[in-house]
Amino acid sequence: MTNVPRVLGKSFGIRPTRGQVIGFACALPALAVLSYFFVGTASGAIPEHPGGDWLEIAFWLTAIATAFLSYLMMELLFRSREVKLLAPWPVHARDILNYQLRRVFSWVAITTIPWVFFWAPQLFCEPSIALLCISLWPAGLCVCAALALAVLVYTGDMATEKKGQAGFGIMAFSMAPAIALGGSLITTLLLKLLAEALLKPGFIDAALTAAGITAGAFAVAMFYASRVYKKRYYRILACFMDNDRIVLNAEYDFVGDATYQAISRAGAHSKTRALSCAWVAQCRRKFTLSSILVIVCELVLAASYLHSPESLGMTALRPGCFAILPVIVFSHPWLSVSRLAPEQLRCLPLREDEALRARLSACIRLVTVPSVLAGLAVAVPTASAHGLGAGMLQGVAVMAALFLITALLGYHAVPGRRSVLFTGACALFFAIVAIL
Amino acid sequence: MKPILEITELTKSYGRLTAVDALSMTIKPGEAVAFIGQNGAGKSTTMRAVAGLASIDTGSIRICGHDIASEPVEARQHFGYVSQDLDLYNYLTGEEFLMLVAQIRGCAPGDSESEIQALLELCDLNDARKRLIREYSGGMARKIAMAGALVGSPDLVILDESFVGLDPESTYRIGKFLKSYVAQGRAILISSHILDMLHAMCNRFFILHHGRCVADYSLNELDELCHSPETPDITAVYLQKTGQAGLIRADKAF
Repeated sequence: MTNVPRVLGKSFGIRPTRGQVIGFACALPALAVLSYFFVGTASGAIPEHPGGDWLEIAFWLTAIATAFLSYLMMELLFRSREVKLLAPWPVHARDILNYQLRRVFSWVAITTIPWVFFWAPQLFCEPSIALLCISLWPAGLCVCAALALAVLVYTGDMATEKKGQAGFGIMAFSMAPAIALGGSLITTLLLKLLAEALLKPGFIDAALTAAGITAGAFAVAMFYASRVYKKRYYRILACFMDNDRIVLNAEYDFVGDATYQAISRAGAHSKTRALSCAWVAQCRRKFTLSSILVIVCELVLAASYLHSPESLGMTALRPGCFAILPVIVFSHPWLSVSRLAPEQLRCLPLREDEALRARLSACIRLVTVPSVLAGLAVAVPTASAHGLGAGMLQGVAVMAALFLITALLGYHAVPGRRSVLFTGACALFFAIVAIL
Repeated sequence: MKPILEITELTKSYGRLTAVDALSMTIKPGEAVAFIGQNGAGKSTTMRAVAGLASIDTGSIRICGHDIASEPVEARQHFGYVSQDLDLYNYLTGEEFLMLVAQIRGCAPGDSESEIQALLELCDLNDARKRLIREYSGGMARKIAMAGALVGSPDLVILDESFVGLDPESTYRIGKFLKSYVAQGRAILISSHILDMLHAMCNRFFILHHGRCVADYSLNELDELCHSPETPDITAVYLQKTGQAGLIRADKAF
């Protein structure tokens, strides 16, 4: 009998190019170097936080990844290319679920490889803490995937029940990733507490409780989600597609007259400015969640410094600053802009350097806000120019990486060899910035 | 009269498959040229090459005297292109998109606003002007793409299967507009499988078969052919020229 999930995996699975594989392999040792110089020490840990900087960094990075995963789950379940393709085919919901779970868990497994490399140097200093840090990522992401699945299925189930209520479906599906995110963050925090309890002598009961709650949440979420999914997947999918197709008033989608005015005011003499405005508007509308996450991350960072004003030293600032960096990189403006550049752009009378300048200017505008916010998030609570510099440095680092891409890559294509060079150069650059 | 488009000995291959084989053609102002051919005949490849989106193996393409390969910006100033596979600025509104195209084409701000207004009305998108393009239906997206190709009134408009999925009202209105557009000394190059629509809209017909031009008729020549009993309409002419006249005979026997 045909193994449907395997067939689907073979048909729709992502096949990395040789360049991507080499780039990935090159980046792994760079990650180890980065962590060796940047992660700090666990030995300076205060008794209440036996994991020190390491667990803090592991927690924040995992929390950021869970935030993205909780949103990506919705894309995977209801919006991905294969879901749309499979929708009219006679495939059992259980097979689709198995295939989707395989995809999510293989994604978790693949991302765990660089994570292990990142912590590898620390394994030689404090193996127990490093091992706990390593396990936080896969554990956090798996629980997050289960919770997001359960929340989305529950939301879909509710939306199908209340089909008659106008706007309920849109509201429910819009809120679902945020609810999943909240649940995931709580469980990630529980996992961190569990790790800390394991490191403290005499806290075995607390560790067991945290482990029980997390494992219970995972099991209940998976059981509920798979039960409802198998029974009602197609109804939920149809409901989601209905709501996804509803035409919203553009004003609710962050659209006003401002962009139109900005493009028209750019004037015929400044093609670069007009294009840059259009790209910024597109990025802000498409990657709204990323923009919000960056701001949330900065606010959390600022709150944490306000809460513990004693952490004024650069060593204490490091984990927080380090945690924001991937957020800025995740919402990578250069890639975002390139993904939004349609083929039609290539038919317009635009010189390559004009398009490149427009793209760079859009990236600068998109990076300025998070980097200034990062600077302020550190500078205001600590009341130090030192902190402002540390935060702004991240923005500068990202910008410099963008310039590196400009130098290394062509305007339209990202060939394998160049992507390898780029990956290596970026990793090296970040390592240097971190050391400095 | 100076030609708007000159294609000389254009050849384009994909591996061992020759998509376009030594194709030469010239389009002059006032010509509405229909590109007809079966799937894979080389229509889209030729159009993409003219738009500078596909590299060519040999030959040359000049638009208003500018070589598309060596003078890409100057050549692009003279044409608008709508691709078969729509790839648009999905997160801009229709109005923002048209304004962006106007600015890149270097239109004067005052003129561009009135032109955008007129194009939105032509395409019946006035009510949707402030909606994101990703929220448009397939037909609406095609219409906004066509409006984008017409912004700045380029000398040549290339439409690759652009009328697929359009409602009859829009097809009629845009078709009528394109006829008047051509009458003002500009040109269009259009591919479609809706042959009757092409017959009504164009004044020159180019039949491609396996990457080669097998017929180049003016409207008068085509009309004369359509009066003969063997080829009563444009479809029959096309089938005969592409060596599929047997289909018509089989149909008659049936």
